[in-house]
Amino acid sequence: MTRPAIVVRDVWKVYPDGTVALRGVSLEIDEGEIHGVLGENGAGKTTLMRIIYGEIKPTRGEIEVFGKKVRFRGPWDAMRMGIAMVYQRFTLVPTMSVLENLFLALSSVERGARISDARSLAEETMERTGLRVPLDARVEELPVGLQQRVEILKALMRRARVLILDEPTSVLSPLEVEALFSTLRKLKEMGITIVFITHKLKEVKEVTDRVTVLRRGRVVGSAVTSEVSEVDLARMMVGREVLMKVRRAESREHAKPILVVKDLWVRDDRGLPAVKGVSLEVREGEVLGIAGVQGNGQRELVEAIAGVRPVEKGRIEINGIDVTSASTEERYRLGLAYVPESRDIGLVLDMSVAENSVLTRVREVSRAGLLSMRRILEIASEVVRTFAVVTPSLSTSVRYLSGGNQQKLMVGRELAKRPRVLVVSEPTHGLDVAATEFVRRTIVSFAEGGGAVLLVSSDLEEVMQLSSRVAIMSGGRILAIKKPSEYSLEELGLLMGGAVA
Amino acid sequence: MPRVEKLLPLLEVGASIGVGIGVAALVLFAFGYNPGECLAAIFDPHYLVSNAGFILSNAAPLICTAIAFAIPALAGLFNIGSEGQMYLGAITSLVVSYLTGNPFLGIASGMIAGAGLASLIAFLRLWLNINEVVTSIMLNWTLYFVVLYIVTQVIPSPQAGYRSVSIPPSARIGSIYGVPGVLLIAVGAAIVANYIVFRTRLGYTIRVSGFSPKTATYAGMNPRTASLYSMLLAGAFAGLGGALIVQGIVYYITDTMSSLYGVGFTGIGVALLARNMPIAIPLSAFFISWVSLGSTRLELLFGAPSELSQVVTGAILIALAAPYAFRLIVHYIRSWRLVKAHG
Ligand SMILES: Nc1ncnc2c1ncn2[C@@H]1O[C@H](COP(=O)(O)OP(=O)(O)OP(=O)(O)O)[C@@H](O)[C@H]1O
Ligand SMILES: [Mg+2]
Repeated sequence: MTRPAIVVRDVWKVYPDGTVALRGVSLEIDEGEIHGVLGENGAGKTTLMRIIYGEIKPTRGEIEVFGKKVRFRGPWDAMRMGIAMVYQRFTLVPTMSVLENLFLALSSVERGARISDARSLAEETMERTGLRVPLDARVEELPVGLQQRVEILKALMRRARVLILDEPTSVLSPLEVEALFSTLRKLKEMGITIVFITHKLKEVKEVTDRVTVLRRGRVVGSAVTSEVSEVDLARMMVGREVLMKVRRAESREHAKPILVVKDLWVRDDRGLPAVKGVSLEVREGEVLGIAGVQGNGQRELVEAIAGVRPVEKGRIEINGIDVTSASTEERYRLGLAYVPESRDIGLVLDMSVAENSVLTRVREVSRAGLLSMRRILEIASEVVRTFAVVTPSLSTSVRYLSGGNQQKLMVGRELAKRPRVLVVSEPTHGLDVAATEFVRRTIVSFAEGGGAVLLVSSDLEEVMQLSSRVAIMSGGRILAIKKPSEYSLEELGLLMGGAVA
Repeated sequence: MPRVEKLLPLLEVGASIGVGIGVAALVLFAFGYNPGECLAAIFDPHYLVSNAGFILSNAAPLICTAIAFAIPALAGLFNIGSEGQMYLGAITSLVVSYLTGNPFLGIASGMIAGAGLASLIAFLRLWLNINEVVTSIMLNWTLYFVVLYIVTQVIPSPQAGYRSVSIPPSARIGSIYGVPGVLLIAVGAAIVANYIVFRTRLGYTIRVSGFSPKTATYAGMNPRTASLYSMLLAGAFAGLGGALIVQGIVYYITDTMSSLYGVGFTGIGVALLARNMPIAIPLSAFFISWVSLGSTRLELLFGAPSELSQVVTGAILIALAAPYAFRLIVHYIRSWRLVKAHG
């Protein structure tokens, strides 16, 4: 009846630096199924997928695709066999248009392809799959969610029979996730096999047929999804019980406002108004969450607060001091810490773990212009220890860390600064359940210790769970600010859709 | 454990040395020379030993101009203007040490002149958005002729018409126990450059800006000033290179500028071979200096035209630098588009 699309037999992977990422993994993925792959950060999921996709070679073991033993020399070989992959980190050229990116991908497999071919093929694929993207927009101007959709489209355009998605949902809003899932189901009906990596157990339950759990480079379990519960999966993944609930910090009335934004107007990269008169206060001891569909001005808002994007009109205060025209560095000195939504911005992949752990506080670790290596190593080991960043050493390039461990480093670094106010975007993007729980807990206890947190997340559940108050943002405006318990579900849906309360 | 990972670039360099020699052999073969004999002549160890002093002195200015390329490259800029900065450093040091007889003033003035010129280029790029590659190439030629004019018209030697006055012996840099002083200074410069790049806040800022200006901005740094400083440093090192030639190797400049011409450009190759790591630059410079001297033997031994020996050096250099240079150029074009787009 079903035959395996991909068989992995006793695969080992030792990276050049000696890290053993896979220790004898065996796995079967049936044709036409949606197969979930779960595992802690650094468990080896991405490594396994890169091997199946021919990007890296296994140290030992073999791979079979549609019954044929294969030895891929590179991804092009895998592509020829109908395997496509969407990476955790996008591979688009940010300064080019969507169409140009698609054309680039097309011409790498089809010599002599013209840009008009790419357009018609893209339009046809969008028709077929319902995955719509603006073809003429520049990639870097699109929200992360849309960028990812371009990646998926790119894979589908090449007529993939097996589609590997590495954490496709971690940046999507609930609505986008729903849309993605219905796409995946449609693709499954079309006979396409899907391998789906995620950290969200709910998603595994919702969309996969079978699931495999990796831990420290080994398969610790494989199951038919309908036969296991989320709790079982979590236990399999982490090896212990995980509490998935985090208690929130309650707002105190009359607490002192630490971050104040008044009638703020900000433009996006294209010069169009993105934030239109936002006013808000983040008080001592609270988490103010911003919920809303991505691309509604959240990014521009936090960037303006951090001082990396110019303000058109309005006022920003930190601790009562007007910082509207202050530099980013001055704001950091006044106690602001900022975690950007993208690791590409928040980390220097070519630099070491140690160097990255002081990225936003270099001045503090230098005397008379000289870096204090001792201080840097102290801070780095504190961050690595506290946030359980898995790394071979402090001098390892951040490039070689798994996605989740990069994220832990970036978030941990900002919290380790012990700021007055923390502005954080997508704090748990790419983190496994245990790390997610830890980061959420740390954010809440930071607030309880008197800190102020502005939290932006496309994960509505995260915002509702952590925030003392929730602001709904749509079309560049704040439509409502209330305690999470004061929202009804309908109201949330309506507001996020842009209806005025 | 991460040691193996750090060995990878070394492997790449080793492989490209092999390829480079292969290409050189092909070129020689194509022109009807016996590649085996020729290569043996180029890499003859006896020749290396008997000319060690010459090879090492010639490596010194190369080290400086290579640093002048490497530091801006780490900041994401292409300093093709090190040639011109080196000319200016040389002529300034010549004039100042001729007038004062003081070696330190000569070196210092050369460095300042180079730094000034480089910061002009950086300023044009950063504030007026004029591509530094274009301004650099134009300035290289302008300076070539300015130096030529000064040499032949302003300070010509009363003894010989084809060259400038010589600097007084008091301003010359000699040898210490047979080791050329210029070499010690240049190696010292590489160590200092390495320290600046990896152990100072400025170096850190330069590297972050080179990785991504956006990340630098996020980190609270100003990528523009980082670029400006990287060029300033580069100019100073290039100027130092020029001063070392005048004060430590030739003591005057001729009207063909033969001692200066190309030292800046070759430095680019030296830097690329060293993967822009300042500490690796001396080794790379020795190697290049050795190969280029060895290649000139083809002329003497086999009567090959001098262009051929240059082609051979060039082939080896290009093969050595190509994989890395390619990556760098792609990165550069991308970031230039980014800057253009955002004005
Ligand atoms: N290029 C590399 N060189 C050296 N080590 C690497 C490299 N890539 C990954 N690793 C290491 O291999 C292990 C597995 O990494 P991998 O990226 O496969 O994890 P993952 O399961 O995808 O984790 P995450 O959920 O955080 O993305 C990690 O310990 C990581 O540090
Ligand atoms: Mg991963």
